[in-house]
Amino acid sequence: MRVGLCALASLLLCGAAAHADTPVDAPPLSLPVLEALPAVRVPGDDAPWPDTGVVDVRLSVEVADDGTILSVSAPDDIPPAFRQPAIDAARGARLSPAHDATGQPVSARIELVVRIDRAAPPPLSIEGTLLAAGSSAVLAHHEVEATGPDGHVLVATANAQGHFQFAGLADGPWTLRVGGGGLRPTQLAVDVREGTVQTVDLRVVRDAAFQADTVGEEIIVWRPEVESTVTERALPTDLARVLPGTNGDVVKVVQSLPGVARAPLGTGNLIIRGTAPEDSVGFVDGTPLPMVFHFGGLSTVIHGRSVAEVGYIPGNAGVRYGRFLGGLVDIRTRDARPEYPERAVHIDLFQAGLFVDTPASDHSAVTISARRSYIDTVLQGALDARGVPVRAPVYSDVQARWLRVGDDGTRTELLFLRSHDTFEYMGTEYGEEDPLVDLDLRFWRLRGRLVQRVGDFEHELSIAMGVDTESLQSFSYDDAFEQVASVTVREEWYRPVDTDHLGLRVGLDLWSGREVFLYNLPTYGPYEGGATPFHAPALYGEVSAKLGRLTATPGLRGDLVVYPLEAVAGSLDPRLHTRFDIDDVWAILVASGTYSRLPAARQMLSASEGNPSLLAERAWQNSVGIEVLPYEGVRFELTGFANVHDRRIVGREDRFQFQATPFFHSGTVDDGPYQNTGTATIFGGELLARMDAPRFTGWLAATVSRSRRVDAPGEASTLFQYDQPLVLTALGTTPLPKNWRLGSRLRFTSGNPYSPVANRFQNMESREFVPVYSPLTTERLAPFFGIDLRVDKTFTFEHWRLTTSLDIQNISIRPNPELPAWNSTYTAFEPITGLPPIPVFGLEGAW
Amino acid sequence: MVTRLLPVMLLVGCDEEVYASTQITSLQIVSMASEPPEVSPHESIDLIVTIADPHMSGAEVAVWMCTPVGDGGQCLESAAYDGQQPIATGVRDPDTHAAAIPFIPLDVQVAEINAVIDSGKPFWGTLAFALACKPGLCPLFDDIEAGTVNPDHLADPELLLAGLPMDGVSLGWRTMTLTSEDPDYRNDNPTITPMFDTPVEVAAGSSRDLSFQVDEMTGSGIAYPLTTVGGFSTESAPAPTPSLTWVAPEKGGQEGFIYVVVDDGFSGQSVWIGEAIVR
Repeated sequence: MRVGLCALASLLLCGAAAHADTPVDAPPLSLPVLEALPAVRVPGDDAPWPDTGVVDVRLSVEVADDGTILSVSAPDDIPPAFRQPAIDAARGARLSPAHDATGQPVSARIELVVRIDRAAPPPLSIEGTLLAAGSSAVLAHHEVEATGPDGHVLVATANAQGHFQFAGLADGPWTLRVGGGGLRPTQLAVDVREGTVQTVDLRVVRDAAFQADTVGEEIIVWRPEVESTVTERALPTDLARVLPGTNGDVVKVVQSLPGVARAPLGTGNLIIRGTAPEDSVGFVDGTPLPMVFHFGGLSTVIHGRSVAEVGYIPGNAGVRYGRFLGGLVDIRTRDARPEYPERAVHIDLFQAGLFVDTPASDHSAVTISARRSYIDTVLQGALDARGVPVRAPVYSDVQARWLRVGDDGTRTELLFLRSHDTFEYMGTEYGEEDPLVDLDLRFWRLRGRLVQRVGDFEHELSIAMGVDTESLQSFSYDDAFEQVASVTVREEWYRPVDTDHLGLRVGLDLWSGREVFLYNLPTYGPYEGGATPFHAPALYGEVSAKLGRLTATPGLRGDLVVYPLEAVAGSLDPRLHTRFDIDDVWAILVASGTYSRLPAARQMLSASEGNPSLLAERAWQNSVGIEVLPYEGVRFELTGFANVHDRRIVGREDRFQFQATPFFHSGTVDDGPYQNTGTATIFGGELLARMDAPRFTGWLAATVSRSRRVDAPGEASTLFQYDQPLVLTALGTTPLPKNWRLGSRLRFTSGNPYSPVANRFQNMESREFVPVYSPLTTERLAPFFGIDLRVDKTFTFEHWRLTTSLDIQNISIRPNPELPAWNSTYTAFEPITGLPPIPVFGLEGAW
Repeated sequence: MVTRLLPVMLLVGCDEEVYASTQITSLQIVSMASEPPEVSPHESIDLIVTIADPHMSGAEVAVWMCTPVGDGGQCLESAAYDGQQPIATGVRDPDTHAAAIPFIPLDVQVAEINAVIDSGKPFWGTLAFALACKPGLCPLFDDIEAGTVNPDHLADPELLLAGLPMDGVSLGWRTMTLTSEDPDYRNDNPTITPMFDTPVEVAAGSSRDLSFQVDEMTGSGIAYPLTTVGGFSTESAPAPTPSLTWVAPEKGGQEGFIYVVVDDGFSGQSVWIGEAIVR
């Protein structure tokens, strides 16, 4: 059919050469004039073409006195393959009538020659663009059907720019139809007239309910290749934004994956494989982030639409990553120039934001996003009415990026990030409302990044600078302050492994800057204040070898930290990752290695009663995993892990610290000096069963684990603050017709352990009771059970679309205990339970 | 340790919480008064430890002083007395609900303390501790008798209470005001006079307002109510004329005691004790 279309167009562009010859009947004074001749159907190659490829068909045409065609005939010696198309064209011709001597129109018979040229393209009839309704996006490579008045069907395919054409169509009503491949069936009536090109914009709604077998516009969920690291799970953010239980936060989705314990009160803190949130790290494209979430877990510090993918590594990360003991998330920003602008404005119960990603030139793009919370506005009235002297938290973030992608794929990027969190606890001083406690957390980053292909290698150079500030003002006199101004540099060369050559990764990871700290809170220890430059270079390298079905990647990372004239510490971390592909379905992954975290300035400097002899904390991580991919879109992973920590830095627990956990500390407080006497043992297993199908995405995640700590040799072992022996998550989301989407998440987790109050004593003047905790975490909160629900509905208009969402956490209304707490006399255990179900409505307009 | 503040702190003190915090359900020290409240280090005082005993089990009481020194929080008294830190004992009098134990805060000369006091300023670094236990429950009393008291336990309440149950054991502490001021100008303990008839008797489930007059008080003070039957609707009220509402339990036929402790904020403390009857 496509060949016929092309042939027809060829003939029309040439233009049928036709002319009026000597009339047959009584000659009028003026002859009919050919005003228009429709396109002639060009016969196929099986027609008896002459060598010239041109056939002139002489037709006898009787023209009425009003110009209409009364009859057309052709000589019998013309082959039918050429005779009929010429007759059809003549019948559609438009002629002015002949006129007699008085000027009156008269009928006449003329000879009309219709030239049929095999090589000439037909004239354009319909020219159009296939667009996605509700946006500026074009729909490339989709087929458009044109059905003519005689039922004749032609097909065109939209090109990469969404353009399609039909040429040489017969006059009359045609119907354009599009459908399938994720597009809602749509049709458009077009009236074709010879000599006129109809220009149309065909807008079609993308509707997942009309997904065909091919994924079409859907994002491939899993990478086709898994890196040597044991279990890196990548989540595309278009999917992550609609998963239930996370208010659309793309990084919080990680909490639903195996290996992550449930954080209290729905916050986003990542408690990975039995380690505290501060033991794990967050990155943006490999650049360290001082914090991943606003206020320890309300929302990720980066706008979700800026993010292309969230990589989550629960353990045994590669040598590229360092300076941590647990796991990591790497927030990967979009690395491609968009073909068309994308804009979005979002508002929900807690925050509002805007996002723009637009091409700036043929090779570059600009991305801008900003968000601000207004939970303070929403909640403050309720808090004031109840006399609660708290200013609800306020957070904001801004990102701006310029990206250039060269023809050779070289990516150059300039990125700016800024995040700001504030929180106040109000009081009255001298009759005026004044913040008694004022917490302020902020950071910014400016990063230049170059990623280019050099031979077999991918070269990355990334330079980032920024300032991280945390400050606490208490009662106007006491305060705490930490500020780090630093530069990070990553220079890396990477070549993936192949059967004919080794893989290689070598790099420099430098972190250097100046840290200032001040702790002037007499209730929490003596004055500490100091400033120091620091230099933390790291070198890393790994080699990958493919030996048949076995891929082995040994590597080594060396880290150093220097506080000039004060202290030095270093570490050397060998790591090994292996993968054995039994066949295309089964694979075994084994990894082992050490991970070190160097002491912080405060822990080593004399100005803070530090210990300059401290060594790097160390974690020896080991894991064995089985991966099964039985069918497309189905994946099973079973992983066992056993981690041992030593040289953990303990001490000075009575001093003030800026950290996200523990939210609540029960148990004895170690107020001794900093020392490397702490150890930890963590072991467990993880199961992931996942399905990705056009009509359903979901998984079942199960984690069993045990995490224990010992603060010093000879001391009793205690359970980790967030030890959760069992974590079960079942999650699923499904697209429904008319752009609805429904998702739900069920979770069951063990309660967190805590040290019970063994006794208490009382200050007989202030009347306050002081608890005496058991030295061991011998009690455990009741288990957690919750059901979350999310519903999305997208309304698609011609030039924009509106998505409404409803996200309800803990719709089961079960009052799950979240944190241990007692009454004021410590005679009764009264745990803090979770918030009641709060329906979070969201609106997003995008175009 | 102060952790990063939980962003939305729902700090709500509900009425039930207040009611429960004023209830005494087991042996508990309700007041530690020093008679006189301000004293020179070498003068003898009576430490009057008032103890609520709702189960009528009786209580033995030990008192001692500790002036914390050094990083380890040792008591100066332990070193000053060559490890034989003074500690005195007594027994709760069921009639007065108290044990009045004579004590000399610091019977030895300590140059640093004397320097403060002799300059005309009071010294508040010395703490008085009182431990009340159901008879036979606390090993400290056996240690006192045997002369084998561990001074670390006297310096660290957590060590002292380790292994002891909450029920039947109560430990309290307060600051002592050591001064060289003329006794005529020293603070006195306040006096508390009820402005209602006693005993307090109400029907089950009902409440009664109790007003007091507090005299002999330096500055403004605060009254703290406690009871072994029912509870109070407020945890405290300002002196000199505190008004407190006692709420009887729903179940009648109960009797107990009401304790109102007044602390003037200048080392003066007194307690009023009255019978409560729920019909």
